[in-house]
Amino acid sequence: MAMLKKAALAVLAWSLCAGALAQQQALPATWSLRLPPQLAVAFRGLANFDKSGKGASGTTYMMPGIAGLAAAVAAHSLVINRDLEQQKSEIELAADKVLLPYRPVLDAMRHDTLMAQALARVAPDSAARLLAFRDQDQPGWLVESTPLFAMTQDQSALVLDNAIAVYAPGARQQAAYRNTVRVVSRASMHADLETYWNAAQGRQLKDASAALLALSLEIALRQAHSGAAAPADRAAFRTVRYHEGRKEVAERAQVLSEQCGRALISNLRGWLMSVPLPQSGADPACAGVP
Amino acid sequence: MVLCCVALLVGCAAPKQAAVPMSASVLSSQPVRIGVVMSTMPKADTHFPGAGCLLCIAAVTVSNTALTAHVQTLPTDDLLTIKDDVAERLRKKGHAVTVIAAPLDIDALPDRQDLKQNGARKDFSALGRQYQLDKLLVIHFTKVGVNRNYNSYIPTGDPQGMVAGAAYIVNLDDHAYDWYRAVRQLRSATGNWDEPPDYPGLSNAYFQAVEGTRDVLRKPLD
Repeated sequence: MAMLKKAALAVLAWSLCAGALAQQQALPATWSLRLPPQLAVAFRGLANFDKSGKGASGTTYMMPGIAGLAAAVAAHSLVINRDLEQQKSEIELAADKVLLPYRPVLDAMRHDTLMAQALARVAPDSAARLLAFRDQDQPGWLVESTPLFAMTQDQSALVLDNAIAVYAPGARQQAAYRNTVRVVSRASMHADLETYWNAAQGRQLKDASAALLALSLEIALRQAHSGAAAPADRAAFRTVRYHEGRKEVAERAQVLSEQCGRALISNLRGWLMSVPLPQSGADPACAGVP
Repeated sequence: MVLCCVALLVGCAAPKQAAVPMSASVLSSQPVRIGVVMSTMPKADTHFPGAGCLLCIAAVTVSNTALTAHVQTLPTDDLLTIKDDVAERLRKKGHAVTVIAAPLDIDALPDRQDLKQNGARKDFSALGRQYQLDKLLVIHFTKVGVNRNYNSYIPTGDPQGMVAGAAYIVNLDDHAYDWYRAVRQLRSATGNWDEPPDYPGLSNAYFQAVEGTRDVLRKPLD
């Protein structure tokens, strides 16, 4: 009984908070989520390119004439660009190493399972169905989602970049809303993160991924369904500091809402971001929020 | 002639000040009267080190016209608030803090005659007398905006948001540095940087460099 009560409270809290987080706009009564063509869920290690590139230096070109100089500069440019591309790939490969302990779980993750899990978390006042990539269209709103997950280098948090297109009923030619929604999970404080994420066949990793996905879908759908405020009508841009894993990072953005220790912001690119704020109090009504 | 050139070059190249860590006793032994001042803020701009020859400078300037025009519109207001941020932390430690509102033109200050290792090159005594200070914390930004390294005509990396300069505490008794911290915060754009005309990714990187600067200057005072 106590367990049931706790679960009911958690569901209530999630529905209250997730809705609040995604702003106080209604979701459509019926909508469909179309699976992406790929089966596997994309994960990467969150890479940092702050130390990429090479230092400043100078080269004296000894080629005669303007044509000779142009040829020498072009050849030199090819060499430098190839080196830079290689360096970026190396940074990405090094960042991906953070995923090695989780490969068995991540390699088994499939979009259909993950998205079904996410839909079960979306606000209960909205009936959603999952469509395979080639399934026939259904009446109502249609959402296409291409999620890309990343794990922070300290392994404590997940970051989702979800490229989302939302189509209005009877208007499938052009998306009514198209945007990238980034959702950053709150950092886990567990001492042994490898055990934490991998326990019970990676249940925490799957649950956290589904929670981020659900929140990103709600945010985009509410924006599309209820209409987003024009950027000019929103608050002024300011630098918002938030947690990405256990470190604090910053983003220049307009704050759209703040609730449950998270902020919904619109960054300079117009992406929507749901981010955990530093020093947010533990509100019991917010249990279950990523 | 050669000796003359060498002498001129050596004379022009001021030695780089090494970091002076803040020792535990500097701001914790007893309350001090400390001023916090910021030098005149440079305007946000693009910087292209490595594009050395005249033709390189011309080519790089032309190829980055749109980027430079945008970077020059970036605000520097957030950097100004670091002064209050630092002052607040000093107050919490129990010191008598005077925030000097007017920007300080460091180049206009007289040079010190008795230069010593880990000592200020400029004479801050007048400020000390004016505001009745024991120590002065100076925040001096030299370059803000966007940096892109070059090898003559060719960029050797993507442009990055940048804040460069130094912060230091001068003991006004002897002008020795109680603390010296060079600042060089570089941040890359997330994803593609080349998004004219507003360069949102790169602009964000600039604001991240500003916050990185705030963090490195706050940290020793926490």
